[in-house]
Amino acid sequence: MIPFRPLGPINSQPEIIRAIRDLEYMLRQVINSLNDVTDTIATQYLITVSNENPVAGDTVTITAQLATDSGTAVHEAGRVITWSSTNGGSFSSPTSVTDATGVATVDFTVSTIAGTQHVVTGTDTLTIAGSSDTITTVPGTAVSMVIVRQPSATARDGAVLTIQPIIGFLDANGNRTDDAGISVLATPSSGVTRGNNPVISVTGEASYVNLLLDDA
Amino acid sequence: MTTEIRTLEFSALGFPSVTSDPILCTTDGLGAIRAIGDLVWLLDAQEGMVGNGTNLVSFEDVSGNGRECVIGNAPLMTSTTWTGGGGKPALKFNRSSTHYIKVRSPSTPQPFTIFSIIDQYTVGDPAASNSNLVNPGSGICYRIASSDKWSQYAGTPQQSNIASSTSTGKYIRFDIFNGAASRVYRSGTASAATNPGAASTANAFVGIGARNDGVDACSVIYAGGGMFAKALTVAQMSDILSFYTARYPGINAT
Repeated sequence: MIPFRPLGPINSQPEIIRAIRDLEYMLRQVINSLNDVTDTIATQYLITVSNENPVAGDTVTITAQLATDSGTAVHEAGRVITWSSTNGGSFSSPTSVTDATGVATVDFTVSTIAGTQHVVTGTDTLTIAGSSDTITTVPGTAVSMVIVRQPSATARDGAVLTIQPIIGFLDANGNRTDDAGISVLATPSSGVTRGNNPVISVTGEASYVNLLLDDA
Repeated sequence: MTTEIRTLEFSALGFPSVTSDPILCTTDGLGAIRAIGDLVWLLDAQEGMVGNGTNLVSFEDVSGNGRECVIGNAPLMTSTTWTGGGGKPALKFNRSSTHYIKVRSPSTPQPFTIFSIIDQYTVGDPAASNSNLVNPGSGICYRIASSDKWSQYAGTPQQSNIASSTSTGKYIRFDIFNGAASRVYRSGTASAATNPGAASTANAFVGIGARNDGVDACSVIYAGGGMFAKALTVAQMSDILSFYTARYPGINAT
């Protein structure tokens, strides 16, 4: 309520000052009331992600909270949010509907390529929208090996291979991993090897330095 | 020399193994030797050799097996090709000359040091290297355990009595004789040696040895041959002697 006091004749300077103060007070009350109304109006979605660094190919949960400009949650059901993302990925459903608390969720499967950056955006039918922080995919657990650098195509017995092999590791989606401490052993189809063998991986690579082939 | 295609299989606990692309390997049958310690290998005549314009200054291992070196005073024909050897570079030792190769003394004296110059050459066909790993005529000299003396194996398998109390064990002396098998001595005089055997019946020798066809008055270490010298541990000695004994019955290092 805005207090109101009818103004009578103003006959003196103190009365003028008091009238100005009353007017100022009323204006402040009006502004506050308008602010109260504004803070109940939904203007955005606050988008959060269950894991901003998921393993490539994994699924994360996207949550959208209907909110005011200041971030206050707006409890309004029935808003239909349409999802989109940068750099691929897929949603369990193209749209979600806010519940009574103004929240809508969707599962988002990130790219299978490690290092991919996604930003998920939700937009409702009133074009109120919100975007997530950047989601960056990371490699998963190593499940296989790969020859990063093939050894020399030709070799002479007893001579260190001109091109030393490097072995790397891959996750289930073929992303290079940075596994360390894995012992990799090279075994020739015939004869023997000499030099440092096995070698231990460091930051995802087992690098031979003096491997050579020789007769048994 | 033969060639063989090999692959390398890489394995690690918990992972499926992966196999490399084929590797065309030139095999030389020397693996058993190279398996024993860090030996100096000169895989080609001038590879790893350092000359000062007149003399051979040092041999450097080019195999990655180690860097024990031998230093000799044998003339090195830098940038010289020996036509009789198919135009390949060669380390040439003049006949009827005496050459010394100094075996680097180990910082920690070892009971046994073996020196060998190997390979054999077929006249006119240097690629057809004889399959013998150690050409008897080329000579093997080995240091006798516990006596600090050199002994030899050359020609007909036998042990020479050339080791003497004056041996320093640091030099291997060899003489080149045209038409005869090489002689390999410990540090000392030729007269102190026992003739290592009858003249070779091979057409030619490559290594420290003599061509007995008299065509080229020299002996050479031909490209493809090898040389090594290294102080060995007792265990290494045992291994290498087993190897030699198997190939050349009669050799005796005791």
